[in-house]
Amino acid sequence: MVIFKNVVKYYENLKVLRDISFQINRGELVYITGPTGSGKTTLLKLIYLAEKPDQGEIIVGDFKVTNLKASQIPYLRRKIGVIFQDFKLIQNMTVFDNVAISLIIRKEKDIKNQVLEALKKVHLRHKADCYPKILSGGEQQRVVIARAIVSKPELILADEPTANLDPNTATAIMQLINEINLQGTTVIIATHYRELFRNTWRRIIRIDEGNLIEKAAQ
Amino acid sequence: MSYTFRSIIQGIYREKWINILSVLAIGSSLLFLLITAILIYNFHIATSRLPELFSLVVYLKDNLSQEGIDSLVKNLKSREDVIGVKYFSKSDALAEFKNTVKGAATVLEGLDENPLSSYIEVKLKKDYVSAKSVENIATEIRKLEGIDEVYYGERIAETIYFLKKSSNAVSVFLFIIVSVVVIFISYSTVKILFYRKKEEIEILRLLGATNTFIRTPFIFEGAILGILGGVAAIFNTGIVYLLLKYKLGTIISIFEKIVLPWQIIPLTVVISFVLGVVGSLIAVGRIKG
Repeated sequence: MVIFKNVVKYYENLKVLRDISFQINRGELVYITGPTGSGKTTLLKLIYLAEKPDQGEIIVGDFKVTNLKASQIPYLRRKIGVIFQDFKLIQNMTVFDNVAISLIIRKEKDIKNQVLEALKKVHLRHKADCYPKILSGGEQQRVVIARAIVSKPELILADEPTANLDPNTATAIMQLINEINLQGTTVIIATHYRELFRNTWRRIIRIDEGNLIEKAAQ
Repeated sequence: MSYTFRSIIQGIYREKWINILSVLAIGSSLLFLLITAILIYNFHIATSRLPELFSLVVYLKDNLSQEGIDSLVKNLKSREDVIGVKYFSKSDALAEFKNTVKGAATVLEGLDENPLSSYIEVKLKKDYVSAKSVENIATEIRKLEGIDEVYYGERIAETIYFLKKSSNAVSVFLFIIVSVVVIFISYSTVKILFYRKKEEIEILRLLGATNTFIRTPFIFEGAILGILGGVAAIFNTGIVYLLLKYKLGTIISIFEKIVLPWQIIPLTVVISFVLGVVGSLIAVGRIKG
């Protein structure tokens, strides 16, 4: 599903990812971990082409990301659901609309039912008409998850999905992400919270100072 | 309600002050253009009658026989550029002169004989009333037998021709200037609206929105700004027209006859729509994806 081959990324003169190579198979749930500033978010951004690699090759599904034309980038992104660390909710849209926009962009039909179903999964159906600013951090995070899953993407990228959440909410959200994965969606979670993967049997990719230093399946 | 439609309505409502200012600016520019266009249109109506009043005066030699005069009149009438020919004998010329200088009849006292020449008044077809054309016709007539002199109001012909040409040039020039102004206003407004929604646009891009999806509402907004500006201009033009005709017309009678061509209304809407779209297309095209 996702292949990195000798990927290098610089920010100005700083090498943030150094010769990264790995492969994530379809249906896997993989944790990408490492301390803050280690390059986890950059790695996710390379997958949905918010950043471009300076060297190496990236393949996501049928897309050769490295050589992708600008006009093809939206179609790559439509295959991916992203749970952003900073939510990226549109403040002047209701919860319903924030989720629906993902389907509108994809020109899908039966939007109402799909959105309500997604909101039901994240237990936010009753907040459909609310605006993001009146929601708690946990609720906003769940709206982002609903937006990421509503279009039933092949791949979900979650960037620090439990940051700033209380332990109970964090557990509920991780449970939800696990359920999504169990339905066949490939999931990549970038996090520095060891608690999230302490007892996991899933694969963990560790990045430190831009180096991939550990690949393990516990 | 579709995203595009809602985005347009929201964009217009949320940034209402910028949009109102833009509509007023577009409206003012188009108002200026419309009033100029109406004045030029009315000027054309007025000047279209001037060539009918224009004539060449062909003075005849005193010794020209009646046969020669008849032949000359016949010759002039047969010209394709001539619409009318009228002969004035020496006595007609004197009567005409006396009539003209009624108050100064003493000027003619002491004259034993009529000093005035007989002449033929030649009226030209409208299309031939231009400085160059009249000069050519006069030169040709001068070559005919029995002609003493050909007089024509060179300056009148030149002025009519100049005013017509220059009013056309002014119309084109103003149209270009106002078009550029309207495009620029629409461009600037759409660009401001685009930057104000930068965060939302960034999110949409990350979710997989294409450039077309993102840009379409802005192009519609530009079109709506243009149309509203056009409507505002038409409305204000109507007011100015009524003021000119019914208020100023009572003081300066020329304004009483001013005409407002109805075709200007749909034409303004179409032009303002096109200019609005062009401005917004340039704006969204220049913002990198």
